[in-house]
Amino acid sequence: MRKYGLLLAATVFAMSCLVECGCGPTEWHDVWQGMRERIAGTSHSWNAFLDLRLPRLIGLLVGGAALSVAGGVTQNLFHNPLASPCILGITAASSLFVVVVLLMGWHLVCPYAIPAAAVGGGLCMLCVVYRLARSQDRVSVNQLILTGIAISTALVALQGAIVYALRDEWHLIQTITEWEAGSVDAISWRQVHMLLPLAIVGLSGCLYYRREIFLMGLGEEEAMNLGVDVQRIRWRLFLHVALLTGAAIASLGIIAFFSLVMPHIARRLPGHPAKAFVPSCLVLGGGMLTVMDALLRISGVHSLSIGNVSAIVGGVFFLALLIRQRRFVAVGG
Amino acid sequence: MLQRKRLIRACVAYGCCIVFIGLWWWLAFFGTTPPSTPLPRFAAVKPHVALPDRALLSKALQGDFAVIGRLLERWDREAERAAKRGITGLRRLPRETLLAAEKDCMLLLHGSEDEIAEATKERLCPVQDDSTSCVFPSVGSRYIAQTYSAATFLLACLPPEQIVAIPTGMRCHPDLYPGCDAIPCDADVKDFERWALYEPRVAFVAGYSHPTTLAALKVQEVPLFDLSKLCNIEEIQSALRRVSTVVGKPLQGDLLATFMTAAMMAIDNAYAVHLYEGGQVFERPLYMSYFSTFSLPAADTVAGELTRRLGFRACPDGRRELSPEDIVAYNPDLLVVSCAELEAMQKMLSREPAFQEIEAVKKQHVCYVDERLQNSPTQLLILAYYDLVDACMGGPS
Repeated sequence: MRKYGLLLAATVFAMSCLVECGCGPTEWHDVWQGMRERIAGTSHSWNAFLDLRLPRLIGLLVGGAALSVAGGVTQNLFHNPLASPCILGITAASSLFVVVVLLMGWHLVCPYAIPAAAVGGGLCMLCVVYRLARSQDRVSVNQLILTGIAISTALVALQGAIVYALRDEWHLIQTITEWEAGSVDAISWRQVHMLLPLAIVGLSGCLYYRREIFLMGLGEEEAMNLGVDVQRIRWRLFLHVALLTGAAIASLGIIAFFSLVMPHIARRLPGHPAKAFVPSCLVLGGGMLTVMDALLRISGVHSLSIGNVSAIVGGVFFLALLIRQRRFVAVGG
Repeated sequence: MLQRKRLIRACVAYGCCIVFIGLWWWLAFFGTTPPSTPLPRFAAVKPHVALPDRALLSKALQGDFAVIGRLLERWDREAERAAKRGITGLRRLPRETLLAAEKDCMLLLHGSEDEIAEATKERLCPVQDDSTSCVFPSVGSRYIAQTYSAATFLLACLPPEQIVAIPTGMRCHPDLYPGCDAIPCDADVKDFERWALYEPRVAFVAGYSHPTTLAALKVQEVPLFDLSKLCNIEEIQSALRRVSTVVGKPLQGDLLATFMTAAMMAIDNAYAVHLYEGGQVFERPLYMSYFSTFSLPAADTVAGELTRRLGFRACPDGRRELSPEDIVAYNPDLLVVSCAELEAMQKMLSREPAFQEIEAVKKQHVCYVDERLQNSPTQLLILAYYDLVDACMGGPS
């Protein structure tokens, strides 16, 4: 049964990749011809596959994996199934920094401004939260959560104030709305180059500390008793979460609910060994975001963005999980 | 010793990560060759003189009735001359409409106050279809304009002193909306008490106006006039007539609406003359705007209507977003980009490798138009149309 499930998942994923690479207004023959010429070095012309579809697929895979792993690590670190990177205010800070970039129009002059702002915002926020939550050389989880929520609320309010003050600038409002909806249409190699090194460092760090992540999911005291240097590892993992979240927000925009729901699915995979939690999140996140985007392309629903779909599907799925869990508890399972 | 070892290891680990990321970005972003062809400025395909003077047109649309009179007369003469040359498809205002407009113009420019008041009264009476008594607005009545459209209509018909409030954003564009400095309040700052001091007679609002504002105006017993649906030229002309009637300036409203029709005809005629003289015809013109992605104008907007009229590409199956692949696949021979920041948009497009592939860029047929006008459901849409036709005729950006 497990084998068939895996086979089905692999088939769906492969088909989604095919849709991402093969669907588009350019004839496949022209795409192929252009690719051959580019590879042979006889042409430097823009190619639909090499310059658009491939970076989009990489963006989806890496962005999805980054969000999912960031969510999983945060949930284990806080020992809280409802935690996600936004609890530390990383999402709010990245979003605010990006809004400032959009407001100043720097994204038109410097194409790297949005990714740089998203990552920079996330890292700045992390440092501020960590510094404020620290007392007597120790950082408690509760202090971190409270500081994160407090600053996050202030940043969201500040962003709201900026948008409200500039509500006459409909161009800006439209740009912010489009960006916040989350989209993969604007992904090019630029975004991929911005995203990839951050994601590689973030993901490899999380994979390196996967044992510690699992142990910290059991609780801080248990982790300490089992030899984990909680303070040190937690700071490092926060850094990785900031890198992953900032990178994903920079390339995809705000993909709501994704980082919250994916770890829950990963935990419920059949025969899932707890120590393989981080790799499961990684594979599942990348695959799921690609499948969702492929479905959106096949369905031809142009009024929804991937961020909208993620929020709707994620919300419903999360609700279903909660109801199922409640029933399970009710029957004494 | 152990502490130091740990510190060194941590420094090495962080350092490696920073070097890795920095090196990647350095290799990816620096030292890359710029696009093969820098995006050129629009080069005129063929110089043209047929279009009306844009500055004059702008002045007329802002309510300069002397200019309106001059232009109406000139366009009619030009159309007559062009028809004599054998150019077909030209359009002119019907003779009686033109004469009536010219008469209104003369009255507004040279008539006494009594004569204007008499003519205004005559024009107001038929509006009362429901046989209710006609309430003639007293001289100096003041009005609130909650929307850009209403404010633009009012600025063209009334002295600014009679306007209590306009949307704040209009003050940032004095080239399009002159005279805003004399208006005391901002329509989106909810200073209801201050509004009440001016005793506004009517507030022009829309369905999307803030409910709190509408409620406050109702409490102050200020009648609300709804101007929600302004998607095409006819609706804008109708709204202009209704607004001008409500504020007791039906002559001005009628004249401006007639002028809009005449201006559209004059621009169309100029395009017809351009084609007659062998001007270039673009087969695949594309109009787009950019926010975080490229997009086509929605069908039920002013830009949508104007571009449809000129044969620009419409939204296929209702989809507005354009990926670079869509643009390359369509391969437009004329690219019109609606933007607010010309230089920034030029720089951005010059960095998009996909754009180097399209015919419009290769042949230097790229044109930038003022976004503020392209999305303005007011009489200023004539300037938006002018810019689009100018682009189709190979004019400068």
